[in-house]
Amino acid sequence: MSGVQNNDPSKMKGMLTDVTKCIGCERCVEACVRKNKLPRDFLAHFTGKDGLSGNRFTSIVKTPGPVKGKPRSVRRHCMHCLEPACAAACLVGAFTKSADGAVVYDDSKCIGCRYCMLACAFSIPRYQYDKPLPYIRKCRMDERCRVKGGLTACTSACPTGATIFGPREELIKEARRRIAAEPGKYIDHIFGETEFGGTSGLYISDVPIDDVIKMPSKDKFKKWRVSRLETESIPSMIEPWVWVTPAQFVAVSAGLAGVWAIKRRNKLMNPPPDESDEHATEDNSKGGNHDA
Amino acid sequence: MHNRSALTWLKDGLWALFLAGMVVGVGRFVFGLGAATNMMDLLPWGFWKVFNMVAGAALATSGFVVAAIIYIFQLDKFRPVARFSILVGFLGYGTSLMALLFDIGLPHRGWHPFFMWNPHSFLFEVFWCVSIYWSITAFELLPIITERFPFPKVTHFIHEIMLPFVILGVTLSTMHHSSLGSLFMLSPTRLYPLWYSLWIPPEFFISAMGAGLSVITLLMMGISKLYKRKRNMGVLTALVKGSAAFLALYLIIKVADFTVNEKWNFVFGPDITWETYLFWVEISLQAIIPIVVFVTPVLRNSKWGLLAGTLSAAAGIIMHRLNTGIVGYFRTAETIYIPNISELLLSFGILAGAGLLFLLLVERFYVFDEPEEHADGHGSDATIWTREEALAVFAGPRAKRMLLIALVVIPLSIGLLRDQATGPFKPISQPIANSVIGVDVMRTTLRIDGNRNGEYVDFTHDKHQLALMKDQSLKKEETCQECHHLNLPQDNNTNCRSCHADLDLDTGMFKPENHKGRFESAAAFEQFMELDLTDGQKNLEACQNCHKDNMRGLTTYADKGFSHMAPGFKDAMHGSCQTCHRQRETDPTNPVSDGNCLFCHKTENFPAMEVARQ
Repeated sequence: MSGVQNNDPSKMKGMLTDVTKCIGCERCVEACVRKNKLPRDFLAHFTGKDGLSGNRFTSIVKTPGPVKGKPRSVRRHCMHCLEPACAAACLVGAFTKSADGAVVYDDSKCIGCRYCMLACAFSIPRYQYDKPLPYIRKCRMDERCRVKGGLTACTSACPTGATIFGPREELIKEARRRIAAEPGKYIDHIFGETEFGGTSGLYISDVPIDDVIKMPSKDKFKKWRVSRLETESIPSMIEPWVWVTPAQFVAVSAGLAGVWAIKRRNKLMNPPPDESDEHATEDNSKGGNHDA
Repeated sequence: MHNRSALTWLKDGLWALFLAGMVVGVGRFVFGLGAATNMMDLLPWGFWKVFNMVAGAALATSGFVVAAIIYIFQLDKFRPVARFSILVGFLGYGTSLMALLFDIGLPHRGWHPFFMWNPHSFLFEVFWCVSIYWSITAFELLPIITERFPFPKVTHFIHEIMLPFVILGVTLSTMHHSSLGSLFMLSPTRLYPLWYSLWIPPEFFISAMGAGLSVITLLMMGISKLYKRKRNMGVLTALVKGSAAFLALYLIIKVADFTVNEKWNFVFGPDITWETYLFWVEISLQAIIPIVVFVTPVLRNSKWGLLAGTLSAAAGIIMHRLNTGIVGYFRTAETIYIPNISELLLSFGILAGAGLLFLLLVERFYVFDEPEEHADGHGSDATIWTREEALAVFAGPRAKRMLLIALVVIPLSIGLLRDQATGPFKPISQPIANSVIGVDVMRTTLRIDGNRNGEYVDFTHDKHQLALMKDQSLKKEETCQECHHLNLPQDNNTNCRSCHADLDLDTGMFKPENHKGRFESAAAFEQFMELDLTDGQKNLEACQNCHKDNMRGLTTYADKGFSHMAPGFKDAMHGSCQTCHRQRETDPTNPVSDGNCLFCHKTENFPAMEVARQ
């Protein structure tokens, strides 16, 4: 994929969020706002219920109703997909998957078409609708938001360790360990391990959170007839169509030239009288002075 | 002669729309996209992109279809609509690109895709194809301009080298029309399955061709009416027959798509949602009605039948594109988008501008290859504009009318722009706690105005602090509950029953029947019994009527410096206390880390909240 260097996924870093540990204090949000020097306005007109906006890269969402007795707090941030759809979508290649796992947006290339926003399955990229010349804004997870120790500002701010940062493979191991350590506590599934080709943002939870993080459940994948996305990425799913285009260019133009040649030949071989007859009966055809 | 009055009215209307659109366009660049549109993060592609670009391109398909028919398939029968169709293509794509200039965030970077490549992006392909194709339509139309100037060789030369350009143009069109559909292939989990498919590219391509031929017929009929020209029914019926063929092909592909991808349950049930009904309206307008009209000779040959069929096809294709690009996303976005008036004004303003250009070309140049036009009043003049006509633009009744339109339209459309793009939530810079002036150097008493609305409390911080530090067994008036009603964690309005579980027990002391005598009257008791007390707030009010003394957090304490009802415990701690305590935490000289969340939320298994339960 363009925008996705063939990096070694084992070197990529990610963030694991354990929903059972989150107390919803929003200190990750505050750390993000401070580190990235974001404005305090909420841009309320333009955001959904999840609170992400051009001024907020991460947010805490409460699960809609009390599930298993009490609502949960779920942190939202960019999933940093291994094969990001935004990178496949962007027509100027402003999105790249960097070697350490972050999906990085390049301000200087963006033309503001917002196709990445449409393409992202998680609705992560947000827009500065309040600016005359707006940019896309989303969770960065690169050097710009690292604090001492190499952690991201948000994960280092978490008081309960509900969200942690580290190499993706180790996070998956840790998630497995937690699930195995307390059988029955967690749903036996690591959200983001394989869906959409795998994401660097990982979640474990004791209640269903697929609606909150916009990661469809197995049932929804099946119902919407896109079960292959449980293990496959969007870019790889549409890849064949990308290669249709150049083939189409060659085939259609050759075909059209061929048709023209045959028609031309027929016209020259067959008598002009026919043609002029036809034209005479056609009341308004032939402007007369400008035909090829 | 022309139907002057209808035409003048039409032109005035177009000018008004165009002006309004341009005012909105300027507003968009001054105040941002948010001020001019209703677009939002979860539905980022609004009316400008989906209607003007995606649907607009589909409506303007005629340019390439007719070019292919005439130049490549060499069916001379269609020559009368050649220039007209290509002109519609040129103007249609022009409006699309124009709308994009306003829609994309940074239009001054419109050249970026030429140099910064991402060949994997469908939008990249659309961009290249559309920009090249648009240039080609301009080139194909060049003879219309050049033939009016005394350079016959130029015109002749253009005709000589036309063929490769036509082939390139048609090829690019087949590519970008399918790619316009492919754009939506990247949202498999967001776009409703009725519209999402891996078969979108051929569906978009075929349906666009069908609609394009209908649209050109519709426009031909409109122009004939407007300029009182004779309708060339032979060509028109041939066009709609072609249209019907493409639309039937589209229907077949759609059926095959639903069969192969097993999606019939969304069309016929059991998964019937509002999208299903919308889809039925769409497919009827887009394909079923037009096909029926166009294959029935009686309907096809009548003016009204033709009008109904072509209108239905045009409306249907617009609806299909809007559904695919906007409405199909509503379910997963959990919100809806309706373009606001200023957004629509720009959309249709651009179309109005194209309409004006179109009428200008029709009136001043040979858009129809029809010989009798040469003898008619316009067109045969040596000059394109006479001196009088040019002067009339600046003076005379027409200029006055234009001034009037401008005076009405410009303020109106400025007024339609939203003034506050950032919404009602403005940050508050004023601090929540101010010491009481004159008394308080040591911050013993805090005047807390948590909502910054002038409703405050004088909080004796030192007393509470000392009580808390000395002794865990607080006196009644020192506990937090004394003022702040306890809500359950993450609940702003906890029902009394949540804690007082014996409230509804027959044996409980709370059983209302036992206190019947305390009510003012039997009627008041009946009224009380009818209250639905599952709502926290109503519940509190009802309980408060009798248990005033035990629920002091709800009452006002004017004498103690309270000016309003105290907030719930959680809001008080998070909204007010935290503000200072968090600052203290960052202070290295502070020995106690009492700003950390865990200071209160001690256990890992939130929300147990032992502290609050004490």
